[in-house]
Amino acid sequence: MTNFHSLGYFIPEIVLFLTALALLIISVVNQLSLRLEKFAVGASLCLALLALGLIRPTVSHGIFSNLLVWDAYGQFIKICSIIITIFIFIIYLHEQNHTTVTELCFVFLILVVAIFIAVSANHLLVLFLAIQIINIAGFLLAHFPDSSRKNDAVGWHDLIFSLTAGLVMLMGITIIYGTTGTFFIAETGRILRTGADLNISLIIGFVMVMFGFIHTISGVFRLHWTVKINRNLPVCSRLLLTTLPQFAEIAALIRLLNSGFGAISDPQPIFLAVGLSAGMTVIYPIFWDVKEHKSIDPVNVASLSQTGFSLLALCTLTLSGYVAAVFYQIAFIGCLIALATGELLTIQGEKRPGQIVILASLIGVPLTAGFSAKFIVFSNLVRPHAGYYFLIGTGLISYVLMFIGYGRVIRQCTVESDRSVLTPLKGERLIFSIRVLILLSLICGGIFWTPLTDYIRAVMIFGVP
Amino acid sequence: MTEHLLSINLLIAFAGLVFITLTKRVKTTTIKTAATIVSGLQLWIGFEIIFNFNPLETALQFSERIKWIAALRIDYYIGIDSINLVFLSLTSLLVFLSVLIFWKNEHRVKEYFVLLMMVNIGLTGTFAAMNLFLFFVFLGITFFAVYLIIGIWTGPNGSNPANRLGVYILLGYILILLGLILLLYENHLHSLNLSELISGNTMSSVSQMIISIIFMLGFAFLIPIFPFHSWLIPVIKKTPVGLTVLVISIMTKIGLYGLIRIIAPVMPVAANTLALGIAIWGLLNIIYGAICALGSSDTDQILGYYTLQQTGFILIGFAAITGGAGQNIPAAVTGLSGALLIAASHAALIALLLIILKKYVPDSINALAVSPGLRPVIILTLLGGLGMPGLSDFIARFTTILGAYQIPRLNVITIISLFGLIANFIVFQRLFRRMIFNQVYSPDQPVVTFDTNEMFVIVILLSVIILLGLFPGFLLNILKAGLIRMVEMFSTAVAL
Repeated sequence: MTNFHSLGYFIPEIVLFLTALALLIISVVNQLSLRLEKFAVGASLCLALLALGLIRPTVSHGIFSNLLVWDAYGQFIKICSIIITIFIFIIYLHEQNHTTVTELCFVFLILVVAIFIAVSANHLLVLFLAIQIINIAGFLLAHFPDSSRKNDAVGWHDLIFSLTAGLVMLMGITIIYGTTGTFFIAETGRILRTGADLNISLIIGFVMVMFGFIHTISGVFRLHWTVKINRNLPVCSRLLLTTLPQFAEIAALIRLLNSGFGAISDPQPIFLAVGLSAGMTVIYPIFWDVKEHKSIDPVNVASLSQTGFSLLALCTLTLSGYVAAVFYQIAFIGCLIALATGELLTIQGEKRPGQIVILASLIGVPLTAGFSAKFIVFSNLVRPHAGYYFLIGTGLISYVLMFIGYGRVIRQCTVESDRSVLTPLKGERLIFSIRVLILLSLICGGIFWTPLTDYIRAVMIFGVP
Repeated sequence: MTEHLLSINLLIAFAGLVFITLTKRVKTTTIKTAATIVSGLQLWIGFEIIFNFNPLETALQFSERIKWIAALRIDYYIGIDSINLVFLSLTSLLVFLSVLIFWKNEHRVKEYFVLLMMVNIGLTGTFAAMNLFLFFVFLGITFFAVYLIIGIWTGPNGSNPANRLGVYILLGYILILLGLILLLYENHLHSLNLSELISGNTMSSVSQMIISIIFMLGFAFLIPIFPFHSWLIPVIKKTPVGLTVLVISIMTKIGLYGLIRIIAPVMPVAANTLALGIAIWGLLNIIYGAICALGSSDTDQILGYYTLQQTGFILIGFAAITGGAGQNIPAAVTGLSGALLIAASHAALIALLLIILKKYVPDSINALAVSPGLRPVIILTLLGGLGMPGLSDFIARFTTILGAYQIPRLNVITIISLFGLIANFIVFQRLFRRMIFNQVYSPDQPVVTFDTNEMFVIVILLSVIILLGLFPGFLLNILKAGLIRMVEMFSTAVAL
């Protein structure tokens, strides 16, 4: 199949990219009306979703010599990403104090395109580039609301740390290329499966890629700055930065592990790299003194631990572990979006009792999706190996810390009178409907989670044509 | 119809929860009435269950089983035997009484009753669940609701007990989760249904030990046991009475229930090995509680340390199960019956003590003088705490000590534990002297009265204490068949 024929499978990316480009060009030539701008973004997102829904081939497809691949797994992750983006976009439309510049819409769309590329990437360098685009788009998004010097410095720190993680990853990629002679993920997997000698360079390469990649996702080292940025961001930008990149990068990591590095005959180095990074991510909030900060901070800090739980599931290097990681991310992102639709401190326990349920899900209270997700992750980690016991231990400690962090928010919502942190969203029907929809999904996911996990397992088909 | 009583009980509580959630917050009377009707109906169902319960039947009664998550063999599996009948009846009674006690309160009525219904569902489900995953789910609902309830009603200044309790129950909860996951993967059936775990479990003794210790620690945070008890006194001090009654009377019993329901039957070898350690731990509780209570003059602290001592006796009673391994089945049954009697007696007595003593602050005033109409009630309550024969506490402790003493391994421990009885007597005798014989009384001291609801609650609790004290045979007969079967199975499993 030619590249031209394969283009049909990448219509969503093309639509989004062309819309972004058109918006940018038009904004340079002529000032576009805000209404039209929003319509263009909304329409392109809906078109992309429609296109993703309509593509139903039975075999996988590649483009540009399989630099990017289309398969059932990629399609599922893209559909999830676009739905999340649409929810965030609706929140953006309803937010009272958002920045209304064309560049924001451009960055918004480019971020989604980069996420799509990361999810489809079958080439280490393409993956690296996609991740860097995500980082830079995130940096730009973080700067639109407030370009004060202080925020600027914080933002630069954030970017530098993420680029450093990227650099470690790039170093790892070059070492792998030097040893295996390929940048292709599936090809690396094939070489490993044929029983290639595991020399020390290859191991170092794997470890560096894993370490760099995971720290790009989790951002342990830069979290100090990230929290400060998130504090001042509008809801939509904060959501965009704390949900989509992690989701897409974890999805890309799953592809990398399943099609490539997971085929390694002795998985100890990979386990060590993923496990240590996951452990650090999960346990990080212990170093964070939540008392000193605003109530939104525990949510941001604990969010890191939530990402860490997904990473813990990946340590197993098994399909069920990957399913657990994706399920965890979906549950977690659902919670964050639902939480944002109500805004935290306007609830006071009286106005938005649904928020308590969402926070309960974030903690992992039974009968919510947050609990079932944690249960699945822990179930996957029960293996007769000291390393896994360590990971279970860190996970359990993190569970307690999360409870303290979110518990603090719950208490502020119900008991204390600190309402000063966030601006409430206009209580419109659409926002309300999203909240109710996610709330019901969270409860359904907590009671009957197997249909979704079975579905995720069914779509975990990684193919290279 | 009767076979669905347990599910109906849960459904009624759930309907109550939905109704109260949908009712406008200003309609406080409607909310209170709904809560009273719901808890009253549940109490009635509780009586129905007691009257339809066959104490000679050793199999589960009123059981229902529906597949839930087939892949993990998790079922909606509930049922009753003699052991959880006690806990379920106590829950129904105390939830109803809590509703009545809170009736006059006007602070956040809707939230209170929504959370109370959640606690109600959680506790009922916890005690009815025959699948450990279901048990854990209901446990989580209970803990979350209790954390919120304590956090909200102790106010901004009361964050300390809420936080402390939150952290402790969460630690316990997480350890139980860990134990549960290990249990799921370590037993060859990969099932969490209690009946299957008990009859077909072939876990190695090492696995049993590890999982038992994890569960033990988990339950230790909930019972509460020294040194994990530091949430107890702040909760008694700062939480409104209606809530304290639920938390101290019932929630703390979950730990004991877990010991008897999970550790002993599912991991008998470990339970037998750990029994001596558990008894020593119980003894430590008694001694620590007794020493602290002797040195304290604060009523809240005395009640806290009294609870700790009772917990110690419960643990010693539980440790008597090791008698089953030594073929001394009657002694083991007596010890376990004693532990369950203490649980029931303590639930009623501590609720009564909390309701009455919280009214007399400081306790140096002459209670009889400021509440002339309540003399018999106050005297009886204090005598109950003191351990007077004829009241529930006496017979409960006596049965426990009798059972445990017959087990050779527990002889010395049982004798030393008598120190707790003496200390408890001294502490309550002092309290008695302060409240009854104290001459500090000024004529302008306001008269302490109890409203109709409170009086009703007091009468009910007092009746329970007297009935249990005078006719313990009623409860012991219900417990007997179930406990004999449990001890026999324990004995067989250990012998294997």
